[in-house]
Formats: sequence, structure tokens, C-alpha cells
Amino acid sequence: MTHFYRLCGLKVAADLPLPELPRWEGPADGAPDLAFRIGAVPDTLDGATHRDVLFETRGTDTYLMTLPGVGRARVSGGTSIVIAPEDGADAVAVRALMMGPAQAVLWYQRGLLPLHASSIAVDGAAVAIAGASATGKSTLAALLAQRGLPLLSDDITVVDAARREAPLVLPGYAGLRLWRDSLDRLGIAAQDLPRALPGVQKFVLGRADALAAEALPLSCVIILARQQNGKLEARHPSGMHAVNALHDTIHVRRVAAALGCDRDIFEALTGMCAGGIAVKRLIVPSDLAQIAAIADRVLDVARGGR
Amino acid sequence: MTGAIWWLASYPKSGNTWLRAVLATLVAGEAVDINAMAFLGGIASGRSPFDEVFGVNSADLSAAQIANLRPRAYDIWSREAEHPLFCKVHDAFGDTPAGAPLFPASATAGAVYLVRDPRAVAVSFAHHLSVPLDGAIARMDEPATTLAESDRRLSIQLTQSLRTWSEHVESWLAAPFPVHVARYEDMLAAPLATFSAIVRFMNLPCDEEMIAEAVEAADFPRLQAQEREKGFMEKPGKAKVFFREGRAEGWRAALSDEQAARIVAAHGPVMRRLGYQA
Repeated sequence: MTHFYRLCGLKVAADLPLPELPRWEGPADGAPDLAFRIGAVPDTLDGATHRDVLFETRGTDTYLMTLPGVGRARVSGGTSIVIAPEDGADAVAVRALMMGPAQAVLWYQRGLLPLHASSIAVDGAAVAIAGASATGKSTLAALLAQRGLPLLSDDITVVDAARREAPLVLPGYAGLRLWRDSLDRLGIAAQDLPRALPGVQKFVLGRADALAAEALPLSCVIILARQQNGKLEARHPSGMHAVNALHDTIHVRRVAAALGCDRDIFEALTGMCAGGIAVKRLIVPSDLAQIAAIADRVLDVARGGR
Repeated sequence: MTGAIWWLASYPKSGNTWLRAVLATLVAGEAVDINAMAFLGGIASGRSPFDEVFGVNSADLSAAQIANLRPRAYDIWSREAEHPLFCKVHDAFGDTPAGAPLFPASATAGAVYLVRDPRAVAVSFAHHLSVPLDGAIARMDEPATTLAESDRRLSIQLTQSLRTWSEHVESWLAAPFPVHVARYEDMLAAPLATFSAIVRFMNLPCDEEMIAEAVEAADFPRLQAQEREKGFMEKPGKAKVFFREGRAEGWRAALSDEQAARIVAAHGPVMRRLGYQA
């Protein structure tokens, strides 16, 4: 059975249910733009131009990842992800493989810029909340959506920087991937939610109702840095410091380099900084009990406060 | 040895951060921000460096998948290093589920193993974890003890197996590469001699004067002052402070005779091997 979804304005045809994505509600007869398939994937790429531990690439257009215990994923031409699950692989782990690095590769192949960030709309513009894993990106996005702000994406924020002076954020996931402690803090019951990962209490919170309908101009990238007992404090890098800080938010940088995207990324990031995208570092305490105060501060910083 | 990585290994609360602050001062040539010591080399269990080097989200991988990949990350760190790396480790040395050494000799230049009287570790560990003393003592005698393991939240660290305090010590003393052992008590009582021996072991191009300056610039009161002023990113959420007392004999007042005896009963042989009265 094929499932149809909408992702970054594109029509996705998927062989497996993807609860992170909103259903396709456009014309039923149009050909899909993206195919997320289960099928055969070669063990290795002929003529690979880069071989790494878990992945190899051939130019920009072909990427192969082998994840022991889950399967192999091949991403081609910016239009297709095919996964060959190992025998006995957990279906939830297979889905995580499709929605993770494989998807970021797809965006690189399409000339787009995937940031490791969740994003929301504030006053009609996109605000990306970036930061390393476990800094609270998804929890903040979920809390801000609870307060009524439109969501643009979770975990991967896809930026179209073709117009350097006015980059756009495309509406991505409506499914936020949240750990049990975060759900408890947000007052959301976990028991009916689909699992995001096998064996641990991480769930997908579907918020298709909160997803922004249109691409929005990117106004601000807020980079979270966790500091135990640190004070909630904003810093304001500029010039090359801002470009470097943005570069740290690029999704799977090592893969992007192997795909030959470094130069385009650098040009896009310098263009974004020159064009006036605000880059902010927010030092945040790790204590979930302070998440509401952190959300207040994110909005304050996004609106130009210091 | 062919690798670029010097492992700075210890059970928690045994002087690892202090050693890194001194080394960072030596490498930088000036006093350093305790929240900006990553230039020395990553923390072996850091989640972000793992994700970065493999191009994956470790949040999407199982504990066994992550453990099996860790040695390969260190091989890449070592191969791509442009200078020696000094990497903090709290894991016990051991094999991955797939049977490979967690810290491969091919990536390793050597290891400095820091050890501290387990009676003092217990007091400091209890504060660090915000648990009663008896709880810390029990964890130090529990082979299944881990750090950063939860199925309800994501930690910025990957899960680390500590094993018992005794097993931790023995695992590192038996590592298949050169290991220099330094005692926390000697770092306190004779800092210059103890840090100089570490620096000589690693063949760092530093004379006694540079080492003396670094030891002074990164002494315990200065580390405490930095934490008071700016916080410390490696402090656990519930602990009040990371740099607490920095004393050798504080445990005598903090532990009951029975608690001290319980630690000696569990760890006496290894304590005596390291020169602790037990």
C-alpha cells in the first residue's frame, strides 16, 4: 500500500506509514515528487567517490548508508530514498533511518540546505532553533506550538537559499519526536502516541494541525548551548563568527562534504549572514523545569530583544 | 604506538577535569575557560562528536549499535587529527558487544589513569549524583553501574559502563597500551612533581617553569572561582557544584566507620595495590 504525504511542499509516495508527515491533501492524480520505498539496495556503490565507515557517495547524486542491525539506505537524484531492511529489523528503526540522515541527503541533492534545527513561525517569519542533540530543540518547538505558534519542522529545517538575500524555510514535519520526560513536562499523555524508536520511551507527537501552510522567510537562527546551572543568556556573534556558528548547525556536515556541497553551503551561509539573518547563541540550563522560561527567552530573542 | 589519542581515564570525581585544565593551560599557553577545553580533544562519550563523525543521529541508534561503532570513531579521530588529542574517558576499559576493544590500540598514543581513594570518591560521587552516601557506595560496588543511561530522555553523553570501582581500575591497568597511573592525592600533595611526571610520560615539549605556571593557573581555587562565576557545563543537573572541596582526607569526617569499612571490604585488594591504607 502506498501512503501519500506532503513534505516541504512536495508530494511524497511512501511504502511505509510515516506518522511524522502530514497527509497529502492536494490533487490525487499528480505524480509524486519524492519516493520513499522499501526495495533492493546494493551492498556497495560502483565507482564511489567517497567511502566512509557507514556511508559512501558517488558525486552528489548517489548516497548509500549501511546501518548494521537495521538495513541499507540508498538516496538518489534528490527524488528517491530506498531502504533494504535487514531480516528481522524493527519497523520503527527502519522508519527512523528514512526520516533521519537519508532525508537530509535528499535535500542536499536538491540544492537545499538542511539545518539540524526545529523551527516555528514568529510574527510571520521562520525562526530556527538549532543546537546539538539533547539541547531541547523539539521540546521547545512543542511548547511554542502549544502556545499557538505555527510549526515549520522538527529536527531538520530545510532552507531554500536560492535567493541569497531572502532564504525561505519550507514546511517539513508536523510530527515532533519527544522523549517521555519532555512529554510529561508538557502535560501530554504518551500511551497513545506512536513510538519514534524501538526499546526506549521516545514518541511521535503529531501536530499536523499546527503546521504552517506556506514557506516563510528565515529571520533568525537561535543556537542552543546547554550549560549546567548556567544563566539563561543570549550572545550575538557577527561576521565570520556568525558564519562559523551557522556552519555548526548544518545537518550531517561530514556527509555534506562527501557529497561535494561544501562550497555551496559556505556561499549560502555567508549570503544569509550578509543578508541580515540574525544568528544568536542562547546559553540554556539543562533543567526541563525551566523550559517555559527558555521558551519566553527564545521568543524575546527572535523578536530582536537582547 | 601509532595513534594520536592520549586517553585521560578515570572513575568519576578523581581529578580528570583538573588534569584537563592543567593540560589545556599548557597547550594554550595561558589560563583557559573551563567551559572551552574541547580543543584538547573530545570527551570519548560525547554524543555530538559521535554523530558528527558518522553522519548519523545516535539518538536513532540502539545502545549496542552505538557501542559497536565507538572504536571506529576513535580510529577516525586519530587518523584525521592534526595534533595530539587528549580525550577524557570515564568508561571502564573493555570490549564492545561485538568483541572489539572499546579503545583501540591503533588510535591510541597512551593513557593517563587517574585514581583516587575510593572512600573520597564515594563522598564526592554522592554529591555529584545527588544520592545518599550509601547509594554512592553501592553503585561503586555494582558491576552494572552506568553513566548517562535513560530510556526517558536523551543525554548529551553516550551511555558509559563504569563497572565496579575496583574493576574500573583493573580494566585500565590491564589496557594493551602504555598507561601512566597518577594518584589524586599526589596531585594535591606534590602537584608539580605529579603533573611533571604526566607531562614527561606524554613527551609534551614543556619545561618545569611552564608546568609550574600551568599548575598554578589551574589550581583548585581558581577552578572553583570560574565555576562560581560562569557555571560548568559538565556539572550534573542536580549537583550543587562540580568543584566541591578538592581535599584528600575529607572523607574521614563524611563517612561513618561502618561506611568506610564497607568500601575497604569491597575494594581492599585494589586499594592496597594503589598504595591506599586499607
